[in-house]
Amino acid sequence: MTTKLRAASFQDNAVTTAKIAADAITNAKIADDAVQTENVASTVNLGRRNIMINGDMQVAQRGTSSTSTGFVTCDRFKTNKSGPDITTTQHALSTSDTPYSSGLRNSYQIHITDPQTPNAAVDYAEIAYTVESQDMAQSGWDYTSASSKITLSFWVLSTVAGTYTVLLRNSDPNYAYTFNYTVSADTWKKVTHTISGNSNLVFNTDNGSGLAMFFTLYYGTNYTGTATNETWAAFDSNVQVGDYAQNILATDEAKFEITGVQLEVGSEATSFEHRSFGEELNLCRRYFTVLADGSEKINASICPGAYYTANILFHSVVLPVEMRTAPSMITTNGTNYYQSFSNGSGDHHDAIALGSAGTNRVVEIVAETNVAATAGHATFTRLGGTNASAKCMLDAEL
Amino acid sequence: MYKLYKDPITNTVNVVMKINGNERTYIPFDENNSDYQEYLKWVAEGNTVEEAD
Repeated sequence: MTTKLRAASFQDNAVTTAKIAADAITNAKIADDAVQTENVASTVNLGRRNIMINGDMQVAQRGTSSTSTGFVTCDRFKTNKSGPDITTTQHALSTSDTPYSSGLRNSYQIHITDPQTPNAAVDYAEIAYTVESQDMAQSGWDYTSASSKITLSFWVLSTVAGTYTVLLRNSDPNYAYTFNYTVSADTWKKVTHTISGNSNLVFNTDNGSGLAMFFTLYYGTNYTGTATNETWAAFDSNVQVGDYAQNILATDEAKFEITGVQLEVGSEATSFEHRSFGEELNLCRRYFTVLADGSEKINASICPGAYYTANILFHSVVLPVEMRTAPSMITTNGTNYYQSFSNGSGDHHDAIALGSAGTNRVVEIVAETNVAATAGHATFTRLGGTNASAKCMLDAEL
Repeated sequence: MYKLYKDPITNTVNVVMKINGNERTYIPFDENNSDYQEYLKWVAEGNTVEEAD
């Protein structure tokens, strides 16, 4: 007769972890539904994990390529630089790019198109991202406790090998934190770094700047020195990061790109949290919204309105998403750049402007340059169909 | 270059315009707006904004 050992045969705590051989418990030996939610430690970060928006660079409302600086391509990410000529691109990844197999299809790429005359003291370049303060405050990170952690992870590729630095700044107390990572040339690397809280950190529950991250390409010696990495300290503008051994900005045709950027509460970097395009786009619209872009559609509709007088047009636009703050309106002026239709005809005019009573939910758009129609008539206003640079965009970025 | 903008309906100045070629950025007087913060810094540096038409 065969005697089987049953669970009831074991004393409580008889089978300890040390008595289970490595690889002894395989997935096949775990019954369906055996692992319940209550079995998962509270320190495991379930559900929505990525505090950052557009970390996979899939949304680029402003355009896909620009030689300017600031917010120019991928939403929420910003190029700052002094020195060389560069092009910032929402770069389409291909199957030969390692992050592609993880479902990442775009990167934020900076291309050094002309180093000009490199100045090793004052030149610098960085990719910047800022988390709203209330989003840090309410992230679940117990940021004033050194035992509480957040983890930043991202893919990076540089054509210039070397050690690069990420700089984090908490603007309210003006504290900073740096860490280094090293890459080989032309080789994608997944960087993960865990950061402890600090009693000096402050994240107000408001819509201001919370945690700013700077993925530095190079900082000139005016901003570098002997830095103490991996600890929070008062920000020192003269020693923002450690000295750079290599200068990618002095390298013609060099490229630096990042993607899959994720900041999450906890001490482990989980896989990148993929969100749908529509969801990511709506998150981005809190900071930037395109009402009409002539480069996409030369006579794109903007909004309905009415002639307040024969020479003043008024429009009220309910925003698709409540923006971070009352937004700026970016537009272009030129002959017949806009057209308003009423009473069976079109009224070309030259400029639109931001009215004074707008909020972060509704903006007012007025027009008074070369406007001529009948007071009281309802209208709908489009880009004029004459120039692809005509546009109307709203900006509430940090 | 900055120029104040007078709302033609309310006849008030609550917006400043940043001019860059034929591009205009209309900036509301909102202290949380980053463009307005940049404008205030520009003024604090001793620069003078052009009056509204």
